Amino acid sequence: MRVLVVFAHPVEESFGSAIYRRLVEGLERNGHEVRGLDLYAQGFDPVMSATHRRDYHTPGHNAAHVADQLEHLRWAEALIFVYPTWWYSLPAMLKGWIDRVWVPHVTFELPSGLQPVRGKMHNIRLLGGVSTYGSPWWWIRFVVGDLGQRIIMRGLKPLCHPRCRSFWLGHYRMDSSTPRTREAFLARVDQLAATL
Amino acid sequence: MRVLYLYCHPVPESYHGALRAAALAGLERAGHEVDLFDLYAEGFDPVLGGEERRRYHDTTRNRAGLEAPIARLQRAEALVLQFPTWCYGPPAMLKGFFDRLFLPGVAFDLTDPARVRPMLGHLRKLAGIVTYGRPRLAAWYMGDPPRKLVTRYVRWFIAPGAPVAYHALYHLNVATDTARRTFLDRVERRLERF
Repeated sequence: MRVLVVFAHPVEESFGSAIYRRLVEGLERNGHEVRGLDLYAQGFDPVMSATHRRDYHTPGHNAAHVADQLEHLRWAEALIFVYPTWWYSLPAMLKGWIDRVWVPHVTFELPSGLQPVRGKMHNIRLLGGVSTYGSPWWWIRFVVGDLGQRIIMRGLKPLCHPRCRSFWLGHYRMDSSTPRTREAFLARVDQLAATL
Repeated sequence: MRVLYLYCHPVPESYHGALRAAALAGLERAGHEVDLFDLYAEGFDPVLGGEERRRYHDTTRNRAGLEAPIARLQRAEALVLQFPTWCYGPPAMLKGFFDRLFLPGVAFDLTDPARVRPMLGHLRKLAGIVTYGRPRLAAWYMGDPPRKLVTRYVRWFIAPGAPVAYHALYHLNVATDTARRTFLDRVERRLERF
């Protein structure tokens, strides 16, 4: 499969970076064709400028601002996000990638009424996320809500193929993680890459 | 009151520009002293970088380079947040404000990790002014991240029991001029009584 891995973490020696490397290596080992988008390393600008915002609803113009990123998105059969959950949601870097790259007319069409948004990214048949959290899972799940996961799974997934499969993998309580829990998590990442 | 008005929209001639003018007029009539923090106009950088992330938990060093915006946050007695909903959440620009400025030792006390305590008790009022392109039902299904940001997340940091107001205009994509005008007037009247 052609897999696009979108990654956002600023620190090279972090656990988040380790997850990203293990996932990319694992996917390649299992015969997938992988493109890694390391947004920090690329120096991606997550700020939607005034010009881009003015062009946002204009077909053609809105895509011109992020043509290279859209090419990756159209190429992919699978899309996987790897990021740390900061303040219950996506880091600004990744939120800005979604704000700027998932433009109307290319990735979806806006309905005029109450109908759902009509997706146009039918090339994506698998959508997934791997994230780290400071909080325990029940706090995220039942109290505050996993807003990053929702934006991806409820916001982006309907824009993908109608039978798009999905998965989510989280390491919770990062602040009290141990080398053992982190290694066990990386083993799950390996397993994921092997069964995709 | 000293009000920090956190504004996040790139386009001056947009509906948000008009909303901001209405809100500021209301606050002025109420006699508040307003510090307008226009994230786009001031060129705020929302990206939490590598060095900053490494010193994030070190309360002796994590403010480096952020002293000015932190001072504005700490001087304020009330906070108003105005932003559009993009892709179901706050724009990256605003998300980055929280990623970078809501630090240990600034916004919360992490000395005892088992008992994290808020540190923005000097904020005694909070208001959100938010627009959504899609209808309210769509926002609800998404978990309404903008509403949660204001009424749960920021609320936790400020003075306990402080009043929180949330002014939202849903389905802006198809809103009529009347609906826009009505919301504009409502925001102005509400902020007159802020």
